[in-house]
Amino acid sequence: MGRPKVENKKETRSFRVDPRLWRLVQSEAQSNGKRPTDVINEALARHLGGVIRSKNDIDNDKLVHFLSRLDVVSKELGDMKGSLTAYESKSRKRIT
Amino acid sequence: MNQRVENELRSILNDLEKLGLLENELISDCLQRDGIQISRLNLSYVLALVGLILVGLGYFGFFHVGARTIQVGKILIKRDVPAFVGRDNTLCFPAQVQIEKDGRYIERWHWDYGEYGDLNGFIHRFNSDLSVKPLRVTCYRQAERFKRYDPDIKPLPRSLAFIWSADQIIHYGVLDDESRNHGLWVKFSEDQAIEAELWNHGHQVGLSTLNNLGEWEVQAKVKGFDMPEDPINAWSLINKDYFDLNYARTLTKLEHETMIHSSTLGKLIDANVQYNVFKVNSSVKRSSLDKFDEALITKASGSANPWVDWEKKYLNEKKKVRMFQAWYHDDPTYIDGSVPRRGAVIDLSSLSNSWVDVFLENCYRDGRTQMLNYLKLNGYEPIAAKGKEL
Repeated sequence: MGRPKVENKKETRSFRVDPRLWRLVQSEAQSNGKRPTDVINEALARHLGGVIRSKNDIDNDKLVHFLSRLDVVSKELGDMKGSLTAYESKSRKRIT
Repeated sequence: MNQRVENELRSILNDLEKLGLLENELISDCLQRDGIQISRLNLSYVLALVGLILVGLGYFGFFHVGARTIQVGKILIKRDVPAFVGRDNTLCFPAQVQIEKDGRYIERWHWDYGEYGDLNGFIHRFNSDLSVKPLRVTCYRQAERFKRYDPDIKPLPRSLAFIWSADQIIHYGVLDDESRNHGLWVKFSEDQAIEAELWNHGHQVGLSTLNNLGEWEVQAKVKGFDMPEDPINAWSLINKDYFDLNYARTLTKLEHETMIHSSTLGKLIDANVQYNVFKVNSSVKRSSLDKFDEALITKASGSANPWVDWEKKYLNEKKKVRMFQAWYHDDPTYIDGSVPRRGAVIDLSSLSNSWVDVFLENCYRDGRTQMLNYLKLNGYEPIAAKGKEL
């Protein structure tokens, strides 16, 4: 006897996103043989730096802090580093 | 995917959320850059579509369904407004089109007064000047019936125009080929002509006013232009060929409580009849005059100009009113000219003897000693006072 198989297992989402968007992510992940969380992780690692650059709410010091942390994430992912820098804005330069 | 990477991203998102950036929106933005997004309606397209529908409905309503009221901003356009009693108990004629701005009339258009009078096919356009107090209204004759609201439509050139103020001042004049003030403009207070302005294609070149003695005085004039000695009689001659006599006659027949065209404009165009009489007497072609002119000429040649008579009578009555004021206050300064604000000297000999006798008796009866002394100095003494001390 083993553990009974649970049908309609409740799925745990790692991120808070719109349910319709989550379904799209699921579909994208399925077609590429990935987990939905991985799809979101990759998108965040690639684009989050560019997204927060466009937000005026973040001052330069904090921006540098977050971009540095994202650089670490990029290094962890290795092969994604090149595409990450490609998205960096030309209008808002890092001040280090 | 490395769990440590996921944890770090989770941590970054949490920190960003503390700064006011929502996790949901950040993830949506990132996924959108990878082409993963929920399809949304384009707000600008929706607004453009709604605007187009509203404009279409408005156009259809105004021009085809006969919408009676359309509001564009603060301008209100009404059609087929019935007659009503306005401010100061002024009777407002029914208007085919009435345009209001901020609750005040800025334009009214008429082409038929119905039971209140007949415009003989002429179209009136009353244009209010809201920057002037009291409210001032200019009336132009218009060439075409109202089609759509266009504040830049000019009045008909070479046409009669009049400006009416709520304080019962009314000006009559004509417009040149470019709808500018031209010729002689006469200003009436109630039905008394008090001021005349000479215009040359939009530029004022002369001014005359009526003094207390009923004489016209030239106040100012530009070199090369002469003010007429009698603006009332000269109005028609100077403005000849710049106004439609039939339109002017139509105006004089319209009845209005405050726009008393018959006793104002009537005087101006009546002088025109005198001019025609002069022409007839000077053996100028009589055949060129229409039947209307002939009827008026017959009337005019049979008697003196009624307006001239009326003005003489009016001046006489004005003198008597001043005499009564002097009697009431027992104050000769009302008639001796010693106080300028009370007008010029009244020549007692210009009044009839019988009237002055009654006046003297009244002064004696009511003990108006100041007045009796003044009259005595001028050779007038009441019969009852002879031989008695005043």
